[in-house]
Amino acid sequence: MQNHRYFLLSLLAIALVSCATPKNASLADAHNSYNSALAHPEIMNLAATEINQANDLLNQADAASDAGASDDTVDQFAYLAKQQAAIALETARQKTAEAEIAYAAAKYNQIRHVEQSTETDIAEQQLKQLNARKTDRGLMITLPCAYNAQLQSGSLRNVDKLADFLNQYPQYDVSVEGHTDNIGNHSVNREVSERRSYAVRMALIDKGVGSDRIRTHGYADEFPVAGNDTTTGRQLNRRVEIILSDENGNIFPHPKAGT
Amino acid sequence: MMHSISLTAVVAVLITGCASIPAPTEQIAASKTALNYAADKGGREFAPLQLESAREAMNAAEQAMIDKDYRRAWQMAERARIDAHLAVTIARSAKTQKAARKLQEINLDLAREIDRKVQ
Repeated sequence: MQNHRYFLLSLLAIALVSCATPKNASLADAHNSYNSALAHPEIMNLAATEINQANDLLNQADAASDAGASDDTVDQFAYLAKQQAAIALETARQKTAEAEIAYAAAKYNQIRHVEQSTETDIAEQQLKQLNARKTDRGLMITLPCAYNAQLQSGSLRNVDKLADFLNQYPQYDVSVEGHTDNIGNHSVNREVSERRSYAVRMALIDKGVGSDRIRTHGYADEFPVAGNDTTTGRQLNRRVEIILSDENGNIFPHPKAGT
Repeated sequence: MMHSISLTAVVAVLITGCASIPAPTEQIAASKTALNYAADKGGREFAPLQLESAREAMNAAEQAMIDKDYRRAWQMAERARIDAHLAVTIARSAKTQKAARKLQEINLDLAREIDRKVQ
């Protein structure tokens, strides 16, 4: 009795399995194509219309097969179902790629932003190495000078660094302004201060900075930064000040300068 | 009611293969348009197999029209149309995927460039 029941059950199982496998080869192709499309994890979200159409065609093909329609009729529905399933899968892939493009575009903007802030960071670091100070007129680099117009070797190194910076960031210009202490004749001092600024200008041009980016002024002893009554004070007043323009090449003129 | 009757009629035509179905002229024209569209929109480059399959079906449909086998003409026209549709879909998908890869490469290059600058 028990054996008998198992025998019946296994017969039923065999019947079910053979039912699930389509008899027609084109129908099998259609089912395979449909199952491949269904295996795409996002198919229902990305290609709902297309996969539903494939499902309808597949049902029609199955129904035609079950109703004993001609092979020709089953083949036709099965072929359409197979191709429609492929269309659904490809549509899902297309939509995925579209999402990737949107993501990559957002990422691109993000990276550009990082790049720009990195460039600003690097520029700021380089300027810091030059001991640039923030002033009302913008960033200012002060180079101490000897009695004559010669630049001190430390100052020359700073001029090199400044030239590197200017070559790297062509949007900046500079104003080079020479100053003296108050010892001696005013017109001689003016000449000395002008020569000090020219010396810096020539050093920058030597390093490849365009001459049109460098303005020069000689202010003699008009704008001391320290008292001229001590050696140290006079030493501080003998200097070249380099003003860096804004990013558009604008330089605020010296507020007290006549010209 | 009318609807279900006409549907039954269509199914009957399909199953019995009745010879009295009208010439699928519109169907043929629509499939031809779809085929040309697919060829124009990158099918030649990205889906040559599907495009070829569409062409073969189209030729078979036209031959069936000459033979006045309208049932076959109708079936082949439908195959041509869906093949062409698949070709267009594959071409569009391939182009989009290509663009996505390109953008990803650009981003990668840009990120590398920044890394170099920072170091």
